[in-house]
Amino acid sequence: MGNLVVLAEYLRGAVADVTFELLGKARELGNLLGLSVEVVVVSDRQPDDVTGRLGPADRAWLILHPDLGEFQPEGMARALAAFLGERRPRLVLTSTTAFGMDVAAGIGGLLGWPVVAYCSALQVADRTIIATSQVYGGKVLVEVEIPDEPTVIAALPGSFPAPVGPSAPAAVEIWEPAGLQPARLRLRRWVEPEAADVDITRAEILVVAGRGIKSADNLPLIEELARALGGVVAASRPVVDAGWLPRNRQVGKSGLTVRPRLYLGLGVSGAPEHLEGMKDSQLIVAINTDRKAPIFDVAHYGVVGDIFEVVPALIERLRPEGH
Amino acid sequence: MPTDWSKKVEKERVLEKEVAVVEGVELRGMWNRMFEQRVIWDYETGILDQITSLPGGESLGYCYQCGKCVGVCPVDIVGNYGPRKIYRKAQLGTDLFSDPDLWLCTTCMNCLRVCPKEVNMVEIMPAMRAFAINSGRPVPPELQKAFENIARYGNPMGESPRRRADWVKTAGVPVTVLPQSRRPVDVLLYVGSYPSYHPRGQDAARAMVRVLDRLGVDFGILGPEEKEDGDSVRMAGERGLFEMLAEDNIRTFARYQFERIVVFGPHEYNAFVRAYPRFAAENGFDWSYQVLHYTQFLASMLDRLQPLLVRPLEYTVTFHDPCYLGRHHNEYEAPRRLLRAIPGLKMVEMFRCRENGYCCGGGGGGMWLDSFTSGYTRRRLSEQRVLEAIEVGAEVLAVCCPYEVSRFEDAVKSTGNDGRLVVRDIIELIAESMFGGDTK
Amino acid sequence: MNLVVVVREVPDIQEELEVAADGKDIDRTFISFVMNEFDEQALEEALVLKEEGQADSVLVAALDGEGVDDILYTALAKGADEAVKVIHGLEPPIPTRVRAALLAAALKSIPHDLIFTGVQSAEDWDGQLAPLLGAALDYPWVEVVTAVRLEDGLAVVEKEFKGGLRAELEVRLPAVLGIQAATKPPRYAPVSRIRQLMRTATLKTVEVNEMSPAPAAKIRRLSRPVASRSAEFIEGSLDEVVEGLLSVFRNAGVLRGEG
Repeated sequence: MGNLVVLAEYLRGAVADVTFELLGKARELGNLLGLSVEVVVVSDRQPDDVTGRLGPADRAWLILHPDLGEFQPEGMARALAAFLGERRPRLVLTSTTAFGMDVAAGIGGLLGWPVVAYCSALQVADRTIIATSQVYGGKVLVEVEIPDEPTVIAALPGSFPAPVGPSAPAAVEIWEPAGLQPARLRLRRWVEPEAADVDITRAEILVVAGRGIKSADNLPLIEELARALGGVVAASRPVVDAGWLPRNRQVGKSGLTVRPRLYLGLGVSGAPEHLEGMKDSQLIVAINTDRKAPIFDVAHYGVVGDIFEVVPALIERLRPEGH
Repeated sequence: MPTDWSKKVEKERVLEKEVAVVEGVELRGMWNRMFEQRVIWDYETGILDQITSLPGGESLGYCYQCGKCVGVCPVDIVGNYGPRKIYRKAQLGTDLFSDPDLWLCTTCMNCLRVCPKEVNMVEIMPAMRAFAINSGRPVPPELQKAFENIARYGNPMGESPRRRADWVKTAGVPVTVLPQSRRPVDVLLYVGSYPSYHPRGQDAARAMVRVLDRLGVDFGILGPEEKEDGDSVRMAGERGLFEMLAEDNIRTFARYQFERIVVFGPHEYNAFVRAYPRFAAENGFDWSYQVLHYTQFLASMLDRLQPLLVRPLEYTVTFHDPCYLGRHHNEYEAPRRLLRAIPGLKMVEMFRCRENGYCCGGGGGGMWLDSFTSGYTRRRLSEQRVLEAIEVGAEVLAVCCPYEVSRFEDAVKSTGNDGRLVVRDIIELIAESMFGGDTK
Repeated sequence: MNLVVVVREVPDIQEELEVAADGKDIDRTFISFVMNEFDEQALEEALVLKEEGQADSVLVAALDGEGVDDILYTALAKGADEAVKVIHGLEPPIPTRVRAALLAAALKSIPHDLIFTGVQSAEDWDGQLAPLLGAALDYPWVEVVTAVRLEDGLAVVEKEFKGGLRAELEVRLPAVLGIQAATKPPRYAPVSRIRQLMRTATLKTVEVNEMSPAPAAKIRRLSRPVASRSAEFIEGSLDEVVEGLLSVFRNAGVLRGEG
């Protein structure tokens, strides 16, 4: 039986948080199943700074090829398929992110291995690995049995909330793919997001200002919280009508429909027209002074309280130590 | 200062002789000046011809720019759109099929009321919109979503058709859902989408069935088989979707036995009284139903209703005439008779009422164009109306169109009048007087 | 330049989804089907490219299934030039890998330079279509595409990452693109045009033979996440409320920079 292989999400010189989440989960499964944990990075040069911080895998691999220097989804999938095909690991772990979506199903397709995408839980029962995947917009969970052959798992980021921090792996071994077909993809450039063109439908975290913020003067406070959470400020209609925020920030029937991973409503009462545009958000948290506000009918968590007390206290706690 | 006419007219059209003798009198220079006829038809008439050649668009050509419509247009009162300007823009060659003005008319019909030439915007606008939609021009996103929801789910909010009658569970009285009980009834209560799904609409729906139950009316609803009537869809220009809904609803109605239809909303009333009969006749369907708006139905049994209104409501109430009940169907009295029957209630009229009643902004597809329209108006039409109600000292703004409750309640908040004015459907006030308690 | 847009039907998640009696699938008796929302984006992007003169034709293709005729007629009403229904004789749900194999077989008889499809669908827990189809056809693929421009023999695409960062990639054709979002919202298909096309237009069909089943993880059971009707309230002192909120964020994995 093969090992557990985590594909490191290595982009522009940094390893994504989700890689450490996967490593943490792989470690846990490895202990249960008696399997070792390996981690793989794809690059065109030896990135010392990164390979030195990939732990806590038992082995770390660097797939090295001059064509794989910059982001190269298909080529990466092909190189990884060649590497993994030789080794036949028990599980290949990656994530349902822009990186993992190219690679996971690609490897599965090239090698004929099963794929489980949108995985939100992995457990072992009687030495059988069981994966839970979120389907139908999160309305249904499907539980699948991983067959006795190598399987590719693409996990939803944030599913394994006990990430392990970066540490040094035992050793880094280099593998160079032979006979890789010439690249049919090429990265031309990276386009940085512009601050001006915020698209609230794509933000993963939305901090939504409602009528309860009372005045445009309070917007900086809301923006500060959004920054601290790594999110974007959106609004309900009254706030946009008042001209405090532009129309492209409006959630609801006459605005945009959003489905972020976190919707945090601040002083949003939850008119039906607003709920229509956000009720499918993955996690809805609302803070409002009125316990009867309809937003609490769709929220998963609620705080009955004054946003002007709770928000500054939250910002204080989110502020990195020493700053 | 003498007027410098040379700047006002084209020089070659000025006729002026050094001296002219008229009936023996010598007229010199400017005293004999005449002008050639001014050519006023050197405009590009393509757009105008295109509009007037559409079925329903003909009467735009009658406009002689008197401007009477502009003073009464509810959109002009809060913005710069006016029916006269449509004609003028067409004259100037504006492509009105891609112009924001295409979507601003609420088909309230106040312009037609005053128009000496009978330029009928209620037909022109839907015809122009239908042309724009069917030729693939972009539809404002909110409206597109409403169309798609209605086509798919039979209601503009995109709620599940299976949950259309869920409000019945909390009505507190038995309600016959015809697809389940399949018995003949006297009255088919056509509920409509907003009373079926909108929380404040549901309040009115529950009040309605409690009142009907108390009056001993034998009624039933279509429950999950009821669909949006499609009248506002038609006015917003989606003719094909209207036809699909009309076909579906006509077939559904034909499956059940009832004596008459009572509708909650004026738009449904217009659909069943005006649009469906025409559609049925043109497409070989049977349609011979008696249709009443609920205020007409209840007013017709006022002798039985009045003794049941036991609790005085000491409110100062003003009534907002729905465009599609008032101007479109000339019914101003039934709602007022019901309000006057409530003991203790004091009626005040707003400055714009009855034939000149203001528009809530929801008609003609306006219900699904809120953000779009707000980009072209200083304030929402509903906000204007709420201010007018406040101005006459009303504590309660009474309505009888399901579009209006949520529109006006929102406007009460956005104009900062929370706590000063409440919005109630007439049926909620009747239920309050009948059963006590706050209907909300 | 011929564009092919692969679309599919998915259960309408606006409706209540029930789990079937055997627990292995959703109950397909009463559900209705709609076009996968990301396929709508893919179709829009293709239609825009055609309108801009970057592409010559747009053909939509779908595996036969419930509601697929409506979807194809709607695509025609929006401006697609042709619609092809792939007849396969399989019962739903069809694994995505089998879909890819069936489509790859069908595409042999459909001229194409570039294939568009949605980045994901409501039912593709077994892998997204674009990479699987790319692998089956031996074409390059890119997922999470938010902009497409066509140059001589190349597609220049933007692939979006978290936080709005985008990679501009050039892809040699033919290729498969998984579209996340079109440059503008999907257009409206007027009902009268759809109904007219239903009377006048014909859907072409391509028949493909049944494929051997692909390896897959076995479904144990489906379930619906336990959802409370109303909010769970976080109460207590200000500190307790803030701690409560932080732990909610942490458990949902949306707290960054920790650990």
